[in-house]
Amino acid sequence: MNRSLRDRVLAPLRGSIRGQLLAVLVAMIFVGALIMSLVFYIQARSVALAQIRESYRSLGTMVAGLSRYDMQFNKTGLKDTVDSMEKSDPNLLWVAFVDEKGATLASGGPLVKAPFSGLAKMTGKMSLATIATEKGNALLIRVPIEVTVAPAAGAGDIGFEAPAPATAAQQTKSLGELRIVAGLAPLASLRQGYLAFGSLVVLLGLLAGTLIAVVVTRYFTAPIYGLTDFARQIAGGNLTGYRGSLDRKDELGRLIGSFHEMSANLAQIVREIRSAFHRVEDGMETMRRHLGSTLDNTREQQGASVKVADQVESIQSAVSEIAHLMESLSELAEEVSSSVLEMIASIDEIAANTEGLNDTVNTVASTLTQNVAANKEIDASAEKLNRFVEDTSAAMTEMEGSIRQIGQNAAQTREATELVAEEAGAGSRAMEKSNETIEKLRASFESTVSVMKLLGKRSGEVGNILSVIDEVMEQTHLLALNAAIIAAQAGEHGKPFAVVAGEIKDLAAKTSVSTREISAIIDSVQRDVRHAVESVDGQRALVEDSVGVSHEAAKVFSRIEEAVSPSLQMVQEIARATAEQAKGAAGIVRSTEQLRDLAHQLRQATKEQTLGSEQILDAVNRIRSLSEEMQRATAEQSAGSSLIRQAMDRLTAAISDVLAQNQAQSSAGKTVEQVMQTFAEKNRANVESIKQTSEQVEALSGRAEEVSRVLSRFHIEDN
Amino acid sequence: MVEFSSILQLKKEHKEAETELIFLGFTVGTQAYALGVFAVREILRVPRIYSLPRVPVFVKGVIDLRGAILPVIDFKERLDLGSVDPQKGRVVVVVIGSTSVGLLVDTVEEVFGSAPDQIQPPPKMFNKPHLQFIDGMVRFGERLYLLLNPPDLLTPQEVDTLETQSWSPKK
Repeated sequence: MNRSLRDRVLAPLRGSIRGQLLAVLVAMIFVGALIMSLVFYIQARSVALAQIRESYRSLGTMVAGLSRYDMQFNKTGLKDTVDSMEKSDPNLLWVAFVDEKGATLASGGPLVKAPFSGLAKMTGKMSLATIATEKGNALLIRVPIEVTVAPAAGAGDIGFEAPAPATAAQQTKSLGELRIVAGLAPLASLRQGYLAFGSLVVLLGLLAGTLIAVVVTRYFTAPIYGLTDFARQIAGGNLTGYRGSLDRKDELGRLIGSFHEMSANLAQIVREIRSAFHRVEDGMETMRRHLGSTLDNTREQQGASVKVADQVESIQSAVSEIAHLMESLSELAEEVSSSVLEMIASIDEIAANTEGLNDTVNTVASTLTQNVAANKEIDASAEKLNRFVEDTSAAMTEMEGSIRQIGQNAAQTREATELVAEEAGAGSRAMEKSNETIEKLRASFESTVSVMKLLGKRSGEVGNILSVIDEVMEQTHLLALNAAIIAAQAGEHGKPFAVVAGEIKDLAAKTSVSTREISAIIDSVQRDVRHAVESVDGQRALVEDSVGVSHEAAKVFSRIEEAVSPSLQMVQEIARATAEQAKGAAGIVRSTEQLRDLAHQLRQATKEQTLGSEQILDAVNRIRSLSEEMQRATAEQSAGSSLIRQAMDRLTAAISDVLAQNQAQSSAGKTVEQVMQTFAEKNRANVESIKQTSEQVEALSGRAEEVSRVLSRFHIEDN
Repeated sequence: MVEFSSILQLKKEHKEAETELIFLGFTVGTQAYALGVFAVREILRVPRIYSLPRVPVFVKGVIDLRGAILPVIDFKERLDLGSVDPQKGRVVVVVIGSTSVGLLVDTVEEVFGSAPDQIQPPPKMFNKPHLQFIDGMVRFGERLYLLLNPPDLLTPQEVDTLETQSWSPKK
């Protein structure tokens, strides 16, 4: 056979079990129809022959009867018989009676030479054969005729009596046979009729058979096609279940059912994994948010610490300003001191001079009369006094200015100290805020740790689910192998099953690979989570450190506040004392001015002394009284001076106190600065580790996206 | 019951019919073996193996396969390669003579078809009584499979023992 032709004919069938089944069924039905038609043909022939046999059997019986009644079976009788037969049966061509020797007895004469008794009957088998004649094929029917011959009781003793009981002497004698040649027309018409009927039956059978074949083929192949599509659907990751009917109860139905169940299980597993991953993603989102807020907090903290550092720096500068002011204050105080000393010396001199004046007045009073000549001397003394008074006045004005400057300096000092106190308060508040931030940071760390631990736990759960998938895949693999074996045993018809089984096996293998990938991702997720937890624990230590440092800083600020408050008190005291001093100084100035006026008056009086002794005496008395007044004023001045001195001493002491505290403050400021530096470093470390955590979280979310991508390859129904 | 002709006879028949021979491939130790698929009833994960008393020595135990009691033979032990790990191994149910026997193997690989002319006779050195069960060799993919003739896996005496001994459950 032409190989390429056969391939071309069979090629479309090889790819389709439906075509194969259809072809086989149609071929079977065709062969069946052929066999049926053959059976019909044979049946038609045998029925026709039986009919012919039946019709000619009666002829034989008739001939046998003739030979029974008409022993002298002659030519005429036979001819009449033939004629009558020819008339009744147009198919009858030729009738002859042949004796056992083969001689034709159709021409009359006695058929049987010897007389015989008994019944002539048609015995033996009729035979039918087809012969060829001039008129075409005809049927030769041979009917043997026998008579039973009784022992010769009497010649021609042929009666109608019942046949004599059979004896041993009875014998059967063959008279010959009737040969009939008949046409085949009835046979042909019968056969045609049967053949027409048979063809109709065969045609109807073929039609019905094809219909049944199509239905049967559809019944068996439709689920296979559906299953193939379904397997392809599963392979494509669509796990929405078998779309067709699940009502079948046979092996195919069970196969479909187990496939559907497998798909549902897979979908359930995928759904669980997906929800677990949603939870993981939520957890990561929370973690990321926490980390973001942590980072913000840390940055805020950093800003606050920078602010604190600025404030500390400004405190430092204020402190150094204070120190500077204090130094100038101290210089001024020294100046004031030296001025006061000078003033005291002048006052002492004034006192001495006043005493001298008194003596002089006394001398003038006692030697008034003679002392006109000494007037010039007095005048000179008055002039000297005048000069001293002028000096004192200038010194007092200077002192007043100094005291005013002290007052101003004291006010400046107070302002500076108040600034220090204020800054220290601001620093303390900033530290409190920073403490709050750190507490918040710590809380967010705690929640981050718990979220990460939850993430680790969820990852473990996913791992458990994966082991279930692995189990299912192993079973599916086994199932596919068994299906492949059964398919192979089914031979050619099992090939589509083998294809399905192969696809399932591949799917199982692919799923196994995916499962292993997911498992590896989960492992790395858990590893990352562990790392993240460890690093967060490290950060927690940093945060604890920050809390300690913050508290320390707050303590330092409160210490500054404490240190500043006594210095503020002292400064206020200085201001009060300076104000008092200023008041005293003003009194001195007033007295000094009075003194100057009096000195002028004294000079005038000395000039007038020459005019009259009494006037001079009066004047002397007045001078004496004025002298006493001046002594009093001097004493007062002296007391004021000592007050100034005491105040100056106190001022100096306060200044040195302030200086000492200033130094302490400066060193405290430096400590704060160092603390703030440490704090800033820790803060930077914090930010670094948070960034690291963020990166790890990003890596984690990258992994999660990978898992998500793997999962999104599956389509499942959402419910 | 199915009668099995040897693989070479099958090969001849199939060569005439120009069809593929289908095998089940599995691994024991590092070597791959294959059985004609008609000799295999099914593949199982290793179920519980009952070590009953009076079981023939070459039988590792019996398993309950959906009510039928089958003897299990560790093919690895029979090849002197140690024993199969029940956690990872598989049981291939093989029809030998009139009985089914579970064969413990390491891994079941694949079901594969092979053209008859791809099958080669075993090397001459395999022509020894204790290596009679190797019927041929065939290469599929990266593996070289040794083809097993199921009736030769057990000696006739062993088959006889399995078919007649008293250990099989009485009805």
